[in-house]
Amino acid sequence: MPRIVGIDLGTTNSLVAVMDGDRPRILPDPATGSPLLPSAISALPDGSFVVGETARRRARLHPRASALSVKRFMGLGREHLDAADRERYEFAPDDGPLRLVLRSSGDAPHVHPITPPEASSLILRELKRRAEQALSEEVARAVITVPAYFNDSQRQATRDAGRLAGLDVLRLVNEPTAAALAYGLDKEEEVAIAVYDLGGGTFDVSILRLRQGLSEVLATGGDTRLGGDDFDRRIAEHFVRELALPADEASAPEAIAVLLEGAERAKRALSEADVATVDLALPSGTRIATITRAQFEASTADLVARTLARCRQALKDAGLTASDIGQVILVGGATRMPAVRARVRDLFGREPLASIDPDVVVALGAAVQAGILSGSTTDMLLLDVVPLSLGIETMGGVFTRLIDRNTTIPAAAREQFTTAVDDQTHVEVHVLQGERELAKDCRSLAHFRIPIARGPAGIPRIEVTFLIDANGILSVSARDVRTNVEHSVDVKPSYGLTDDNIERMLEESFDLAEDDFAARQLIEARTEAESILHATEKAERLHEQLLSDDERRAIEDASRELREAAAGTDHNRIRDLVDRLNTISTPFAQRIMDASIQSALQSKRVEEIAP
Amino acid sequence: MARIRCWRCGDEQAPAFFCGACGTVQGLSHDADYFAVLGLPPDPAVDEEALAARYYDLSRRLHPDRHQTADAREQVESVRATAVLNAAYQTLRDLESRGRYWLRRSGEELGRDNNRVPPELAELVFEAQEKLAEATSASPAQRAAQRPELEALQRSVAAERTRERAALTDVLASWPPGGNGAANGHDDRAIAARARLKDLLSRLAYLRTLERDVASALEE
Repeated sequence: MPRIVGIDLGTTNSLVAVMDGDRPRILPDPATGSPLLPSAISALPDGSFVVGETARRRARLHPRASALSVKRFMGLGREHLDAADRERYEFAPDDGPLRLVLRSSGDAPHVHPITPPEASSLILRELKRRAEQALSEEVARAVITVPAYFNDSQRQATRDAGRLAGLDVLRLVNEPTAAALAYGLDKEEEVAIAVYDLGGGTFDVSILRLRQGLSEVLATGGDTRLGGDDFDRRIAEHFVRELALPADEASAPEAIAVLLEGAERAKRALSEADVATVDLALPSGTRIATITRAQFEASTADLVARTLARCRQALKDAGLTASDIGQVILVGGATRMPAVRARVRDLFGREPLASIDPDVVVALGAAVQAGILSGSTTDMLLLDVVPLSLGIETMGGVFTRLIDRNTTIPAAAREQFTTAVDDQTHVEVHVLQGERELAKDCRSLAHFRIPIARGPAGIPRIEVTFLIDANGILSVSARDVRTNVEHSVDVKPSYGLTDDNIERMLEESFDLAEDDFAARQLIEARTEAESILHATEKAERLHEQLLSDDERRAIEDASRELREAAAGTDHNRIRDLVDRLNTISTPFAQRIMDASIQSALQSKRVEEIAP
Repeated sequence: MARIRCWRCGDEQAPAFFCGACGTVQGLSHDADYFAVLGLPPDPAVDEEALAARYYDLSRRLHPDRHQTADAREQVESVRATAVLNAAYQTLRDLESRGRYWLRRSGEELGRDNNRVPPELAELVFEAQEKLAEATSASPAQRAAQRPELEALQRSVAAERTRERAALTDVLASWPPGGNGAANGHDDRAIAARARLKDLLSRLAYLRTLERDVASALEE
């Protein structure tokens, strides 16, 4: 039987894994051997897209043509966007499903509106291709992980992305739960564990009880808008202050891309060192910026505190205290930050476990769940919960809960409705998800109408059944109690795609330039060429005083030759010329770096001298 | 109990998660009796270990993950069956929700007139309302000063709740009243026992709300 793959569709990186006998294994990129696929997409002038590392590189050159963390927008409506989102990305102004607008540059600039599920489907298609190449068989079925705290709309959007990628999504598994499965702790004695999962864009915490192969989620909590990216943003803000960048420069998409990329490098460096110094190739010239670990930790303490508050709430919901927790698991690259580890250790009073690479553990767990679904793993079972309460709007705009958060799924609830006026022909039902008292403060999931046999007010009786499946996704059915007639319920999603939307998108499916291996090689080589040409031109313009005439001539000749080759289709020649230009311009680049450091030191001295 | 037919083989049977004839998973109605579906005797003094063991065993057999390779209908039935199993377990494992279920099963509802303060709690409620009102109108500095009082209040609410829960455990453990099997009966002892159960459950509902209000006042 064809295998089922496990996919971690992450904010920053995505991975695919499969069961190999009784152990999960990551399927790396056959070309580079890298287990991670950056979750980036970038539009090319011809209307096709590239994903992964090439897209991430293009994002630096063409920030308006690229998107780095579309997962943040899955299942959202326009009204959920914040100022930072609008600053960083352009969104289509119309009323349809939320669409990002990417603008490819070039001779014939192109506008590409794309919904987040479509963008994610491009990443899934690349993972599917990767898996098919590694396994030498068609891959059509997958388990995909989602943040535990994803609501119904966000889950539906993820399932839609799978459908658009030609995958039958057998199950959506919560990321922290998947991590627990990967650790295989559940074969041991009964123990309560906490999974602390800080990813690129989302935070989750889950409390589980494991016994005899059964993993029972007791409670989950989190924040789908809090992740490693927010820590990067704080560092970028620090750089803007430190370098005293004018507001108009600091808010240009090109500068934001450079600042965030530098911030990410600094964050990684600070996991090892007490101070990080990075070069920032800003549009106005290369600058050197510095941040100490103490500065970083002070500026992000509130973010860590927010995650700890969620942990305490989850413990309370599970009816446990920190001392009941026998094991703490760290998931997500952002848990490499020493301050995060220290605070988690303080909260639970024990050293957290991170023996499996926190970047790959979720994908491994997704593969384990795929093994369970295929019937090949029979000694394990996962009992998960719904993360947010689900209910309906009742008289006066009140949110009436039908299913409480942390209820084990599948779960069902029934409610009877009646009419408020005589001869009503239908009742309107508004389904919501959230923890607040008023409907307007909860997330709207769907509206639907149920037809009823006419009668005096209060007499008709409609029984509506809400069923949450093992993916945490809601379906609704209705029955007229008097006539015992079942009604099919047409659920109109408040956010996200209708079946019609998806049908049309499947027909008009975007081209993934990388589907063709030769084309892919060429795009990668061209992206490299473009990167180095862009950097060289900028350096020449901004630092001409550091360049001798002979050197300038040599660099310009090599650049011209590379530019001509990049217009052709021989990717080997492009790569050779990239290497040559690189070699020729290295001494120049070194001098620029030295000069930037000198000037950074000088300005520091002035600061130190100043009273 | 109404008899139903197996969706696969058509065999007529009492409601159960598996067909007695062919063993196929049956998605039960939500009206199914929670004790019956879990294979437990109808006794509100549930043995928690036995309950958990039954739940895990049934989960392993009913859960949709175990029926992923089956036909579409069986997958749907397994989702519905597991939803009922989860509801049954969730209801019976918690003392207070089990008490409410038992009251309903005995033909009575807690009713919606729960806003009335139970007389036994009047003093505690009066004190709590006073302190909560002070806390809402207080300045941050005053709030810090009031903290010990709120914490003392939290302790007395918790203590009261522990007492009521112990009483509830006793009532459920000695059901049916007098051991004569007439739990739903109309003799004086059965009626008195149901009234006592109802009182305990309303007081516990009130205490739960109070506990939540005090906790949120302390968080602010």
